[in-house]
Amino acid sequence: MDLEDRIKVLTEGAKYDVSCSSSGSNTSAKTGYLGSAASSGICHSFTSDGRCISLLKILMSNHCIYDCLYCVNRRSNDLPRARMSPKELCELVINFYKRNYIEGFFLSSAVEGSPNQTMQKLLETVELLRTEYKFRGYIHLKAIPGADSGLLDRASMFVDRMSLNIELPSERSLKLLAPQKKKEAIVSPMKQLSETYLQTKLERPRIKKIPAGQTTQMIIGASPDSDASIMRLSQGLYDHFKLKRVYYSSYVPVNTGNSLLPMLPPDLRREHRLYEADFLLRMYGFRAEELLPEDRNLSLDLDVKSDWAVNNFANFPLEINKASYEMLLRVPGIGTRNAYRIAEARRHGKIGFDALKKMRVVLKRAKYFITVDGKFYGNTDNPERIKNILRGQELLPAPVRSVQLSFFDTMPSYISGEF
Amino acid sequence: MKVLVPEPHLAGFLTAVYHAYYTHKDAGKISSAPQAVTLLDEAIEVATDLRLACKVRKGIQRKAGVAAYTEIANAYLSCDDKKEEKIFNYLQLLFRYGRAVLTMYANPEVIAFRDVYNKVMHEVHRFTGFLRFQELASGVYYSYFGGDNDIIELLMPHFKTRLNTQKFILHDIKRGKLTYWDGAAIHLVPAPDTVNILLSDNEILFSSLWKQYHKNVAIDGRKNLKLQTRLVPKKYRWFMNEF
Ligand code: SF4
Repeated sequence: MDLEDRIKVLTEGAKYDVSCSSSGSNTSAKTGYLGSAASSGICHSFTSDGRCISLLKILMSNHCIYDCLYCVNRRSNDLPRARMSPKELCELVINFYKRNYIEGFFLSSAVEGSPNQTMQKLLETVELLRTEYKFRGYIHLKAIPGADSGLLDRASMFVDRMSLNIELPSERSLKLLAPQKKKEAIVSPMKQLSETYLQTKLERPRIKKIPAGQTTQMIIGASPDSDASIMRLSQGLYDHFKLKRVYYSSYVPVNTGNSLLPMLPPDLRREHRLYEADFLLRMYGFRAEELLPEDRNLSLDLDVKSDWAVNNFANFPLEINKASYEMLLRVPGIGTRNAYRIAEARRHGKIGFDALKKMRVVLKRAKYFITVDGKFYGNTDNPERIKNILRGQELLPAPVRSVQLSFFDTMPSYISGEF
Repeated sequence: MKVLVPEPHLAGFLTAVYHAYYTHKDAGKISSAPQAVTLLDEAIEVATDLRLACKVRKGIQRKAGVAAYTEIANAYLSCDDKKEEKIFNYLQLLFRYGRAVLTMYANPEVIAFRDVYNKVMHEVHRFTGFLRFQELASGVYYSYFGGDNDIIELLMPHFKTRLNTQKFILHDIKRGKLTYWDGAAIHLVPAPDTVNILLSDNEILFSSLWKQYHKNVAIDGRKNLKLQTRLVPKKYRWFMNEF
């Protein structure tokens, strides 16, 4: 196969990996070296399905010794196989970077030969890129479960971020759908990386290992795990492993004819709701147990924050001119930026309803949960009725089981983090 | 109404601000936009005076800090034809309240100013991603573009930091402005009317690999061109090789 076809095959195999954000690292430039990493992610283009292209996301090889049921690259699938050499990969990254096509490099691989052999090659690639090619742009490396911890540790010297995919939300599902992957082989390197990251953060050593931390990804809808168990898992990952992000990826039925897997992809609103809930954990100070006290799924027809707010209506309404920043964050229609601005602005004088409008608070939602200088602007304070009104404003049309995702129109809410 | 009409650049505007405070206290607004002066208004042309402009700059910096001045200078790069009025309104608050103006997020004048400023910075942020470079036969990297706002000077520092090992040219075709990094210093020059470029041997290959990559990473079943258009507006696509 020529280079062009191999690149095609290897990007095809990597494109369902959603962890694309390049933020979180702030590498200053250095004379004689190429590149820097911006702390707020930069999108260099957008695909025809509206996703940000920030990194060159590619597999080193799609030859795999494993046979995970949900994966296109599984051993038993008959499809074109390819690999690229460390040097070829470096040339591609450098040339894309110099033309400003990309912000950095996201390297991953199927397991070729053995986990150690694969990890060794990945390490070789990132080392070459940093030392020979003097590349200082962003690198995210996917670590191979089951590889030696020494390889992992050495690789962490050369990359901004590393990740291991937790793949499925429970050990039971993992056993069923990815029988060759052992939970320990995923969790213990995650633990190792969390220690590496903490060391970089606290001790500020000369060589900064994974300054942008680690992330993970799990597949949603291939197994019967509930949203409550998924969110509790995420909460645990944030609390104990100091993960930067957990990504949720809707199962895409790439392999047919297996009775263990659902025939249809999950309702895509589910992935969207999980991202909303995840944002509430990371940026809004919510806990998984608050959002989903019982073992159930998130509601599909109402956004997570509004759902929480109507179910906990006793906390409301809040006076805009008095409520703490933390409580403002809990009002539907007020995002992190507006909560901050309200808290700052009211030090200079009372804020009125018109000012809130000008500040672009989403009042058609917020008005049921706030008072402005003592006055309530909603037309009802009955939580059930409010719930229905908010459902009527819902931006995600239902149901979206088909793959035609016109509802992606409304997706950026969780990308910008304002909802 | 008395309208101060400055020359259309930052120093001109700041000179007019000086006059609005000291020589024409009764001036109602500052604007260089032709439509801003009606038959009933009295237009007063203001000649730029760098010394006065400098005084105003220092005044802003003293009252509200260096960063506040940078925000104003950046907002001035906006294409909004009411920008001078909006910035002037904001400045009046700034001179009255000092640093407090920075957090008066509920004030309509402050909101109007922030909108102008944010639009400029949003375009800068987008362009740090959307600009494309072509490798020329000479080894220099060349980028042409043109946006709503006059931001070439805000783009330069970003690329200078990032691409410091390569020589490159930024060319705002819409405004005829050109700036280049020669490996040691930045130069800003008026652009020539026509630019002839000779591409390097590699250029076609990598450009086509990128186009292929851009197409490949899309998930076909989820096509959503409306969303894509909102994220990469059509008005920018003429300088992006994948479109
Ligand atoms: S190990 Fe990775 S590439 Fe191989 S089959 Fe499993 S998920 Fe696919």
